[in-house]
Amino acid sequence: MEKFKATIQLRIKLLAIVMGITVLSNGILQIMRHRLPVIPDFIFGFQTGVFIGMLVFLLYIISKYASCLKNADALKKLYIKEHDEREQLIGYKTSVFTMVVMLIILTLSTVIAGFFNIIVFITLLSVVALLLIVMLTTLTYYRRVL
Amino acid sequence: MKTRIQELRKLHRISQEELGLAVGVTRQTITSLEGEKYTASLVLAYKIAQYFQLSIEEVFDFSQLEEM
Repeated sequence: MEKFKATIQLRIKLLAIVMGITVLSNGILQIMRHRLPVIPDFIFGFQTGVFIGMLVFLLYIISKYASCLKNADALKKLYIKEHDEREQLIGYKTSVFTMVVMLIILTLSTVIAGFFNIIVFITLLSVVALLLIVMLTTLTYYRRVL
Repeated sequence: MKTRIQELRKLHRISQEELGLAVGVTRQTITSLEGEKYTASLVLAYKIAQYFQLSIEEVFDFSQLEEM
């Protein structure tokens, strides 16, 4: 359990760094906003929402980890939850299914977009290609190591 | 896969949560094993059998496994 405790402590530090980078980058963007192209209110609202959402999520995870470090039972429960074999199988099956559905939807969208807009078509095609590259690289890696 | 987990658990008067904590899985996994929805890995089957001080075959029923 000591190894897992060290992992959680490392995660807290990394999440705090991510939080710092998020705040810093948002601050810089706000300061530089007048130099950037004018964006619609909807996009600005979306960006602010993502920023606030990220901060709330990171704070929640950090506080959850911190409370687990103070309580041995909570730490053991977290360890079990993260290492539970059924949960891992659920995660694996969900990922594979989601990936297949995403690929089908994106491929169909690419074909349809080709009839209307070349920029959207190339963007979607790039996303499909990138997804396939990531998928095949991961597949090759796991075939070698497992 | 059929198991005797529920029967053994009741015999030893322990809850699903307690068994889960002892073998390192969640209560939901024990529920799934008892409900025959999930088949345990070899390691988990071994841990559960060890917990009840029985062999794997005495806890898990392999008689209905499909032949290749």
